Amino acid sequence: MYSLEARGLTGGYDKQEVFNNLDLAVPKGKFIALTGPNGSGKSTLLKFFYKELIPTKGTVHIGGSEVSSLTQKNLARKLGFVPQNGRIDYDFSVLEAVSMGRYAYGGHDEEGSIEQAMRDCDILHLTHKRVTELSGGEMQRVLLARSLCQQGKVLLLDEPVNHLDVKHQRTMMNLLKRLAEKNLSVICVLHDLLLVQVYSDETILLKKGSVFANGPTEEVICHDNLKAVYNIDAHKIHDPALGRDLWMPTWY
Amino acid sequence: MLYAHYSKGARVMFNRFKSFVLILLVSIGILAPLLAQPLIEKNPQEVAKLSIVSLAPNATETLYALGVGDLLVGRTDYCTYPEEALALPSIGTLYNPSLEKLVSLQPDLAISTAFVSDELLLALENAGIEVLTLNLQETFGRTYTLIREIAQRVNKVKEGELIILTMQNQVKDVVEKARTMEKKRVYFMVDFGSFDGTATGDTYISEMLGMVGAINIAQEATRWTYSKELLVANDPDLIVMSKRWGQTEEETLKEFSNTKPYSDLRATKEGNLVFVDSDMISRQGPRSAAALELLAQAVHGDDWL
Amino acid sequence: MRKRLALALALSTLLLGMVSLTLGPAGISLSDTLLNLTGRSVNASQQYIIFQLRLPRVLTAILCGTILGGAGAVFQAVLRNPMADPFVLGVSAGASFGVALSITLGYSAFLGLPFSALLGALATTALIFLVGTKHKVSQTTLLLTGVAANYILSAGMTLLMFLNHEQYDRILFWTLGSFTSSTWAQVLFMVLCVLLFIVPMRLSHTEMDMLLLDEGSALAAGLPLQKIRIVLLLLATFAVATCVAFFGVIGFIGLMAPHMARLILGPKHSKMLLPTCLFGSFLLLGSDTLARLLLPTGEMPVGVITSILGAPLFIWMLRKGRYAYV
Repeated sequence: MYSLEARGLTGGYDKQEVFNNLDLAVPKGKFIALTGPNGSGKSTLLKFFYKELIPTKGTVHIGGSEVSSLTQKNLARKLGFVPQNGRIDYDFSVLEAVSMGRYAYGGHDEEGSIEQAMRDCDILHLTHKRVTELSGGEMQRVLLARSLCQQGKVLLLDEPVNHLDVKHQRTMMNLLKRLAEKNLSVICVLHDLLLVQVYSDETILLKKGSVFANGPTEEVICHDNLKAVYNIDAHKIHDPALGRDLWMPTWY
Repeated sequence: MLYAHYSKGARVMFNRFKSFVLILLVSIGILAPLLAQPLIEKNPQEVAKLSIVSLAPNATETLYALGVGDLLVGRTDYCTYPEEALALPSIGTLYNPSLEKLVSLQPDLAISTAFVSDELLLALENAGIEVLTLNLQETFGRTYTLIREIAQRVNKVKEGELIILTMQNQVKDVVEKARTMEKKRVYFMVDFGSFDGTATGDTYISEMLGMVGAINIAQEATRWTYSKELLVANDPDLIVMSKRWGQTEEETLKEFSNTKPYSDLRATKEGNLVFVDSDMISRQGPRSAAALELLAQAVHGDDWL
Repeated sequence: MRKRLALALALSTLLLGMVSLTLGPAGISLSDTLLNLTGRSVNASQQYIIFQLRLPRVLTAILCGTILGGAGAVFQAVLRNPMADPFVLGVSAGASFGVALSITLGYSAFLGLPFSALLGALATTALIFLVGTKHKVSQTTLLLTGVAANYILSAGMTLLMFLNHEQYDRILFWTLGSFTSSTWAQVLFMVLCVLLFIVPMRLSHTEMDMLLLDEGSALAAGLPLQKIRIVLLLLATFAVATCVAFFGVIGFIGLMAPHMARLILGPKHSKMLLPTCLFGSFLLLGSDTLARLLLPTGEMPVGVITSILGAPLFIWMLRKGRYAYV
């Protein structure tokens, strides 16, 4: 029923507890944006789902199973994760880097998932190029392809387009949207309010480790919420290309 | 009077000459004893007040043998013979002596070997302490030179010559007796394990081995350095051992006999390992002749007695 | 390319081994060496020298080089740091200190230097692990703790050597590294070490590749990060500690060999791990051979040779290689 769930999640880093008794349920098959101010816990929340952090109290669930009960490999078959900065310092080839996603399957790839993932991400032409020679946008697509060949039902991303130029941002976000439409649950940490509104179906708005609002994006991203969470003013603008209104931060 | 018939002028001159000679003689009579004193050499009275710190065990032994052990006010940790020396305060080791301690003993003279660092020598100079440096003696005969140098400095030349003569006689006897003995091929083990040290051909210990009628298999080597391969290839009849610092003779023997490749040597298997007092042998001084005899005993065993 | 390189390295090592067997203070000619090897010699001492002194030495140098090279690759992967070498987590400092302590306190004859070294090395690494990790193995904390430990133990050892001048030479000699006292017992022990370490390491080549990713990616792709790090580090540390215990501290091989393999074959561990080991063997055997040749009497410490050879070689390779790290 839900792609991700948190029940009474309490935990964080050694010096600082980020979440205290957090409850959250993320619906399946949609493009969900996870946003909020700095320090609200966006990236930290994701870490509980691929077991970089362990809850001190409460549980987290993925695809109906409790994360703590899964081995790392089994967990890997249920999700994929694209980090914010996945730079590899060694000159593996793109194919080698993507193939690492098949680790959870013992390196086997009978269904050709690697090739499929690379096609989806449009990096087939880069197969033998060294990852150290890629541009930022290309590297992000390689990381995405790797997480896709894990063949999980949930895709987690941590600010995947932060450092990309607008063209590559557009390519990447469109790609993610297409994947979400193919019934993949995409949960994407995003900073940019515009991208949140343009691409996501639903938004989870965090403030200081709590869920401030959770629901369809048009409802969550509104003047009052933005004021309450970010302490900024916003005004509506109309985008003819999209055919709908968007909230724009008031800059002055 | 004889000069009565000389002129009055001549008589005055003669009187003046007489006075002059008289005054001269009296002056010489007074000054002579003073002038006869040699300015350099101290009289026995002064040497008795000389206080000495010994920075070398063989210097310590020599001073006691010369009968001036009571002049010593300090020694090093290694100065362990004779027993009376142990009562003296120690200024530490040779490599790391306590300069403060040394100076606080207020010595007039420090006797050292070439092992002393330049720093220490400079410091002693600055403190106004005279230093007598005994040069490194790499032949057996130079032992006598060493004793002589010390004897001269403390004005015990006669005693020194007596010691030397006695030693020379003892050495002569040992060498002559050794000529009648069977010549054995010997390895003088100084260190073993990760480093193989021996009395190589350029050392005075090697000379001593020759004097007692042994053939040093490490004759060709130099600088106290050897190798396991050569040891195996040269297959000595007998190995002369010294105990390792911090171990007993039994412990050193056990370690040696149980370490490859030493355990496979013929001398080890046949039990031809013999210990010597390495202190006596390594200190060139009054006990060196006795050390030579001990070495001869070690090498020839029952045949010597 | 890889197969040819591996073959070339193996053959070179073999050849070098043969040459090394003919070298030594007890000059034995090439023809005599061959005679001895085929068992047709009449000279017992030559036989002994070749089979009990030189052959174990050549073999231990090869085996030790394998371990050091492999361990270098492991440390560089686990710590995600191309500048890491097997001694970065206190193994060498701990072993040296253990030896210095044992010689100073006088129980070196009782325990034996190798065992003292092993105790020192393992104790130090265990301590660093305990101090440097809280809930998880963090590379930076580990590295920094290792650096601190290295400083403290080095100081301690220098102090011991200074206070204990008679034993100075003995301790110093040990730390500089040497294969002089190699025995067949050690050869067997090292073979065991190589099997217990190299085989699991080679089998974990995918894991080692993934250790090079950022933590999030590695975990999300299914790598049990903490477990793998600890297991690999433990195996490598134990193998290296054994090397150090027997033969002293031999630097640079663990740093150099993985880079040399990577520069030619690329970073994928399935391709570069075994060549790394072969490089390590070849380099160490070469260094030991040179160590025996260069001085008219006695030997140079192996560690000096590896550094002198290694540094310029490494710089040359970096400039010619596929890319530069920094």
